[in-house]
Amino acid sequence: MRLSHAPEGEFLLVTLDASRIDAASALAFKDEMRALPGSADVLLDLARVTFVDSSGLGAIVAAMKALAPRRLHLAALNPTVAKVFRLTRMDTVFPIHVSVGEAHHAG
Amino acid sequence: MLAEAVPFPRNGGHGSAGADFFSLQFEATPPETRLALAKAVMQLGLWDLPEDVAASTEIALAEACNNIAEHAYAGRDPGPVWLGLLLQSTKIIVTLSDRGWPLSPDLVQAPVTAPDPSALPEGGFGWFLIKSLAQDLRIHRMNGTNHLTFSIPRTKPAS
Repeated sequence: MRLSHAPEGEFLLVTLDASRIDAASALAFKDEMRALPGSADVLLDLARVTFVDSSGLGAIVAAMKALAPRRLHLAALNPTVAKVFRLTRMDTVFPIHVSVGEAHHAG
Repeated sequence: MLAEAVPFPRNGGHGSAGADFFSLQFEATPPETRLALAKAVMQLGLWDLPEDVAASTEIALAEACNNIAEHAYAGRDPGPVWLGLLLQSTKIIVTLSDRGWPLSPDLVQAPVTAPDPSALPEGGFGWFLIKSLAQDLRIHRMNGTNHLTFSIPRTKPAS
């Protein structure tokens, strides 16, 4: 798994080259998220991600803690990914945006 | 390595499928599990299920497979997993078998509470997700093999 990142507005926009954040990739994801440069809040674009399992969800939470005090925003969750966040109520923990564009308007 | 499917008829070493069933054998490693899940999800796609039903099946199946990889074969070489999907008129029946450590029947009986989001949990979601989505959850062990069975309703429950 590779993350790419670029400044975008007030965020550091992070995109994945992988379609899953799962047991096979959670550790790599966590390590790459921890190594993100700068001090801007992070916006993780999940548009290409089709599936996040419990390991992936745990890795996203771990990344959020590691990034603090920077905030981790999530954008463009597909219905299956959104369902995992909703069932576990972890959608209450992250600012979640319909799209990257919408995140900018939300500030 | 993906090996031949059991117990259904064999089909070129890549599992087998029919109009209303699908089966596959794989090793309980994260990469093999990921590949097996991809094939199972393709089958769910062929069945043209409502998106929410396919999503529930994928989530519960993935968590059950992860449990086998992480716990059933913990501390020993990853062993085989047999995955079966059966399409019925009102539900999808999922069966998973492995030859790992015995599963506690308590997993079925005991209520599973969701991790508290405000505590920022990094784990403990797996069984909660399975129990949230699966019905008719059963575990039994026979001849050194764990069998986990559950079903996902094809109609969306009122919520």
